[in-house]
Amino acid sequence: MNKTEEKIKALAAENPVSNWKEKVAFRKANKATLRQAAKVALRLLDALEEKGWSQAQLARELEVTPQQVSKWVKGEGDFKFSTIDKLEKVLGITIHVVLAEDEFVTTEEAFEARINEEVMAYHQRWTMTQEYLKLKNQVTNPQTVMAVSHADKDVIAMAG
Amino acid sequence: MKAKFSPLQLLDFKLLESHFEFLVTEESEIDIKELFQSYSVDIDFGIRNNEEAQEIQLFTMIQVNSGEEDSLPGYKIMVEGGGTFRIQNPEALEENLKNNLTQFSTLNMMINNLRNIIYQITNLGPMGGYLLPPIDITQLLRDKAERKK
Repeated sequence: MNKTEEKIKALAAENPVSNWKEKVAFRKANKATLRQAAKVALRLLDALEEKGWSQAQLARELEVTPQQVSKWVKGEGDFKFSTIDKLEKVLGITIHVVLAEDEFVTTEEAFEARINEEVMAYHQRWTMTQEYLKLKNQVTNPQTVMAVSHADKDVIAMAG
Repeated sequence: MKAKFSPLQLLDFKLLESHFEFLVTEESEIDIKELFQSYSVDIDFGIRNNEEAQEIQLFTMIQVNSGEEDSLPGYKIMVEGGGTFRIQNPEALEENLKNNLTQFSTLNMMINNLRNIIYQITNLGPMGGYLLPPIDITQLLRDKAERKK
């Protein structure tokens, strides 16, 4: 039986030789870790592109095997602090940040949106203030402001 | 007792200008309460009914003890504020009530806010906080109407 025949036989078998169930279970159990690893992988690929380096070159710089680097960029890395430190130094990037209680991470877009919101709010406040100042300039000319009536009946607020 | 909200809404209030001065006196014994009571109070205001936006804008200025030559010792204060109000469902209100809300209540609220500001400013002063005495709003509105004539 040649290799192709073996493969077909395995696929047609009642209990095919496949560990997909284990893989799914692993992904479920390590969801958060895998997400972090994927983020680091994307960051590494970006940094390599920016520097114009190959994965092999990075492996040489860090004195690790190319297979190791390949694992990292596939999102299968589980990093030690010492490895992260080396990667950050060699690539000139930040991978790991520990935030204090009152610190938060924001993206440039979110930051810009917040600034825009503040500018809009200031603009609205200023528009309103301008209206008041216009009214202030008219106070000395009673013809331009709304007439006030005597309203002797049903007076509610006698003192204020 | 559960409070019912008024159809009059205060949408905005801004302090536009404030001046504070402390006039030193040579007298060593001063009855501060009596002094405060003898302060003159000047109030001016302007109301504008923005029918398009269904908003009422009110500018109010309060001057305390600010006669040009005969100011008494202690505080000389001027505060100016602007406020924006709106009446919810004005069609459902009687004309008298609507007028009361538009003129009396708005001015009343403005004076209250400015009273609070005056107190906060003077509270840091040597004579302590000055509380603007209650103002006869009816008379204020009457004077304004007279001036228009």
